[in-house]
Amino acid sequence: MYSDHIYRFILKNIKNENTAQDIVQDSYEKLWINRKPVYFTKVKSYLFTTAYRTMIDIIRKQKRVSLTDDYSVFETHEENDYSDMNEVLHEAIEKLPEIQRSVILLRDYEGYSYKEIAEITKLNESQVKVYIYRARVYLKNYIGKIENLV
Amino acid sequence: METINRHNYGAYFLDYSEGNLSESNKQELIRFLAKNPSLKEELNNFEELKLTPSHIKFTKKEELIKKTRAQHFEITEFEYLCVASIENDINESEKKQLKKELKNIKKQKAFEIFSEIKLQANSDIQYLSKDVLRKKYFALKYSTIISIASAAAVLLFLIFSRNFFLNNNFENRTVPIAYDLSNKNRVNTFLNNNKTNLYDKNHTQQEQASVIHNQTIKNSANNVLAFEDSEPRSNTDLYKELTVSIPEIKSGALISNINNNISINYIPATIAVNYDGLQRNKNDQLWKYAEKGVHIWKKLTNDDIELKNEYAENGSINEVNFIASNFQFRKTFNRK
Repeated sequence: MYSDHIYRFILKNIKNENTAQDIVQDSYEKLWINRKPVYFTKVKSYLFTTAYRTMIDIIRKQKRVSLTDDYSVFETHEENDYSDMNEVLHEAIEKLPEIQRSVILLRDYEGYSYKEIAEITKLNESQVKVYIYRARVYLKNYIGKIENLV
Repeated sequence: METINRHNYGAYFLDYSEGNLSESNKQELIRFLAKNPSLKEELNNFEELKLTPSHIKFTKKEELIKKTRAQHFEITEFEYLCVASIENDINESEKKQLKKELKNIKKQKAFEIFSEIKLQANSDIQYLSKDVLRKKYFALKYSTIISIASAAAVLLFLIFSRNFFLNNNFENRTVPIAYDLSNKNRVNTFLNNNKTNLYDKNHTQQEQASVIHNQTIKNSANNVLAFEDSEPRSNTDLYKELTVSIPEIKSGALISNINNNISINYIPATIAVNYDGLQRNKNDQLWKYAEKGVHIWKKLTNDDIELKNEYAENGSINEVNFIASNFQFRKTFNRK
């Protein structure tokens, strides 16, 4: 039911199909194991929470991505012919810090509230809001830069 | 304040060093020291003990100043208002403020870009292995482990105590319990095939020959079922579940073996039926008892366990299904 959503979310974050598939499977397995204490209405949130945390564990193990906010802006984008805004945005989110990318994907893809995102990511609501705002400003600046180039 | 004396001068010294003495008390202190010059040095030492503040400074004073939201977000106030607007997280005063800002054409352009920032999921990306997500995995929760262990204990008990449950005669019997002896050829074939079984040393000749004699019982489908005399009465319940109809009654035979001289006397009234369908081996019987055992266990403990057997038309077991919570074990018997 939610496997596509979770798969897209994870894939957007880690860019590895096999690992993304493993995480989806792992999340559903955990859901089966804990199906009794999980309310039906919370299943989606449970799956996203589990998937997100599994993903973070994997990322930390692989030491591939830093969770800090340090990032350099506008330095490495390729000059492509952008057919639509969504394409540009998806290129831009890959350049976001891990945590900002996760929260904005949860916000835009799944329409989660700050509170729900906070529960999934183990942040507080204020932190979630800050990350989303910063991410949007980053994306806006990225797009502005692209527009100037085009 | 009490008049200064040699018992309370310490309080005067402290107040003096801290500048808390009134003018009259100061005069009183001076007069006291004049009378007690040995205490002058003590007063001097007292003053030297006074701590002077160091020059350490708190350097992060700017962090104590309350930040604006934009500063907290590390974005400009205008950016904050734009994002708040597209996040639908904006109040009335902020709306007014944004409206003012948008009078600037550059800011209008920036706001338009902000408005376009809404990520959309690519629906072409799909998780294709959905089948894998169905309940394939079984969780060995504590309660499940207990259930499985309980069921396993029941099964083991049944297996190791099968001699208690199973009738030895029953176990040893592998031939049909009755035969169609309606004509001589069949009798001869029967005797040739079953000599060993019929003529073992534990039976008298006459008893052996009467193997074709049966108990009969009608089941709910009004079918007549036939049982060997030695068949435990309890087993008839098992046979009742099978729909076995007796074919046309034909004449049977009384087989005698006197001094190894076999003779056959046809007895018209004898029911002689070949109902191989009622063959059952010890495994069938064992699983039947196991099913009942697990059922009893479930009743007693309310555990989420079940053992369901499936039987073929001939009464032999086809399949065993053991279910404990979300764990399922299935064993299929292939028999020729």
